[in-house]
Amino acid sequence: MTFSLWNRQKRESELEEELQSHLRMAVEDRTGRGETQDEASGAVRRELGNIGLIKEVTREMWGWASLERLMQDVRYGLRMLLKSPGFTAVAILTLALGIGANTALFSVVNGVLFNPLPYPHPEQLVWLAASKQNFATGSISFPNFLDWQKNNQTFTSMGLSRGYSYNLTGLGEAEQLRGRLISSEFFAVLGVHPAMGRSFAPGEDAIGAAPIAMISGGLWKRKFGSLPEILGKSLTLDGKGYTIVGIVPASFELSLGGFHDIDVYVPIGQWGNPLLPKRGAGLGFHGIGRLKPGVTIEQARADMERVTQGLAAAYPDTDKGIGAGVFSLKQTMVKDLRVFLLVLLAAVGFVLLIACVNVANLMLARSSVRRREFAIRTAMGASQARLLRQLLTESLLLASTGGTIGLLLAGWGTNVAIAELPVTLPRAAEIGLDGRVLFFTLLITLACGIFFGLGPALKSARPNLHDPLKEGGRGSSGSRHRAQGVFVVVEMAMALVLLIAAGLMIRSLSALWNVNPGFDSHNLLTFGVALPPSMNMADPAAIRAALRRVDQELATVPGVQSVSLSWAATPIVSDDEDLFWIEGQPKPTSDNDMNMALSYVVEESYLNVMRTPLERGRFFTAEDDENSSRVVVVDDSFRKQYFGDKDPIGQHIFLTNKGGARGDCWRGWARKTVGSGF
Amino acid sequence: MSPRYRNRIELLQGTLDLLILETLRWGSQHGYGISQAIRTNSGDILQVDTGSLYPALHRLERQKWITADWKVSENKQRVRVYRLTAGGKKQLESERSRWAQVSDAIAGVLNPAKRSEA
Repeated sequence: MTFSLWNRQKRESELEEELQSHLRMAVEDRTGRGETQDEASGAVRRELGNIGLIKEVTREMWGWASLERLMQDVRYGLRMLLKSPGFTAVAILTLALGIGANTALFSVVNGVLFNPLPYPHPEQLVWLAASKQNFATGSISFPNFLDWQKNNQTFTSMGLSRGYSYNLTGLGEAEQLRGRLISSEFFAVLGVHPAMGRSFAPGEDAIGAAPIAMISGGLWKRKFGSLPEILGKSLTLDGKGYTIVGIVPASFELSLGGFHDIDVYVPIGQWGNPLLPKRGAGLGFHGIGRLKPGVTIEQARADMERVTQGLAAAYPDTDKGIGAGVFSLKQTMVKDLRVFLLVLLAAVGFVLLIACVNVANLMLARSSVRRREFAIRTAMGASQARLLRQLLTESLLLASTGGTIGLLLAGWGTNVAIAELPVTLPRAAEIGLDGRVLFFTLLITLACGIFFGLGPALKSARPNLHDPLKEGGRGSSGSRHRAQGVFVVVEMAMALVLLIAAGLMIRSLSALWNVNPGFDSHNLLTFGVALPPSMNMADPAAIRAALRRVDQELATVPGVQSVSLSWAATPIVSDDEDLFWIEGQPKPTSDNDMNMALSYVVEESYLNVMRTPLERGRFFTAEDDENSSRVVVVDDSFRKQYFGDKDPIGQHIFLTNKGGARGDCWRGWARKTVGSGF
Repeated sequence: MSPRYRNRIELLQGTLDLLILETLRWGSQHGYGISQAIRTNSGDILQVDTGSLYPALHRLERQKWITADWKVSENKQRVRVYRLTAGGKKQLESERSRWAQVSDAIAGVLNPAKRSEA
């Protein structure tokens, strides 16, 4: 039977007419038997009972009754809500905020924790690192990686990469690009295909191969207007020409440290670093891998254990104690965020609960105003179930309006929330309102509607007919007050829990803020500088002269108080380690037995710039240059670890990496500049 | 729906359907006429409640066992007249035989001696 308003109205009037004719005939029969008109119609009405109810029961037989009743309830509910706009606005706003916050946060949780990675068969993807003595996720050396690739039996493919920034010249203004050195298979591991052109072929990542590069869709658009003729063109990076062979899709995103906003990808072998072919070198490379179908992470770990033990036996000098770390790629990406996000979700869940209790309280307060209405409806033949349904319809109307507004808030608020989070969220680009989020919103909306509607509805649907009609809606009922009391208690309890949790969070936050990082970050600026490509072949003296000129130029900028060039120093953008031994102790036979320490290369003004106090002795001066005797400054924890109670001042240590003024290394060492001003 | 009406409908459902269909077997009739016929034919014992009659009529109509038309009665009144359909006739047959079974069965229970003789 099709539902149409016209059809329904026709049937409605026909039913009315049918019952009226029944009435008339019954009265006629009675008057025919000699009763007066009044007696007859009174008796017939008594006999008939509640005409409204007869109609309703009959209507139910038409088949569309439930839908029709729902429409009626909705219409009535809307009318009631519009009649008290203040209550409606407050309730809807409260719910919208609660549902909106929950939807926004759930969409973050959904995007970051629940959704699979946006690559084919994401469950096969792992993150690879070299595990060393005190370092579970150390970097993998290029030669070791090549052997891992060759000797493993559980991986379909493996890729290696590290970040590198390039100076792009020859295309308008010179520009520093975020780049990535990658092995040939890198994109194949992820299952990402170039938007145009090709990715690197096996062997093209070898040292000495021809210089080629892939660029991001973003750079392609920005610098080349997305013209297809770009393939085969040359790109000048750090003064060297690279042939562009492929475009990485603009949508490509890998939420691993340092992997965002990459504009140029270059095969590993193109890196001019003399340490690249060294098996023992830690150059910041980490890997990704794709497991063969059906292989578990445990099996892969066992397999890699075998591979690395073989390498340790073959190259004890460099590989002794080096294992392979195999970790789920997704878990590596979201790491500690799981707990953080779930705690946040629980917190906004509490907020929603409080919102619900608030609205329930409002409904309850309003139900006392509406007692007369319910009493009249009951007297007119409305059943309890009917009243309950009506009230639930109203609360669901409120909830769904709140939910819709909340959804809009969330759609806008999610991005704001991501920006406001104190951590850079991995997979941020994958966060959005998808089917699962919408389902979640629908679910909490319904749950809210029932949660805050049912209590008050149960109270109101059992009206005491007598009092409200007699007293005109005045008077109070003890049970209603009891229910309100329960709501208030629940609300206070939850608010208290939230308050305590918020207090604790604020305390931890202020504790974090008050952690002394060892320097004064106030008015401190840091940025990178690079010398022009023409300096690539310059001798060390010319490079030093150029860097000193950079120093001087920066120092003349108005407002700048002090300047220090630094390499790998706090604030750390990249780190550098030195192997060393202490004078008076025998020189260790292999690198593995050396002591290792983070090392900074800085200028004499560094402590000044960072406002870091000197404990004892002296810091560098302008006289400590390339011609003077070499000096180092150590920190307190270094002193405690290696000298104990002995006074370290005047002692000697041997650094293996900085034995001489190796010009080709110095070039890189002065990239990062720390300046303080304003 | 109040319990009062619900109970009656449920109690009478099968039987009321049978009575309505049987009444209509003798010719088309309006609601009031049906209730009067049942009352008269049962010797004033069965009084069909209006609150049960019209829901039952509308349900039977929906099940296509009866159809309804508006006609003008002898008293020049517009009345809704119900008529048995072919499907309704079949339904009536099966309801009749079911009723016969039930009443035999009940008679048997109430009168065990008679059953053992048979």
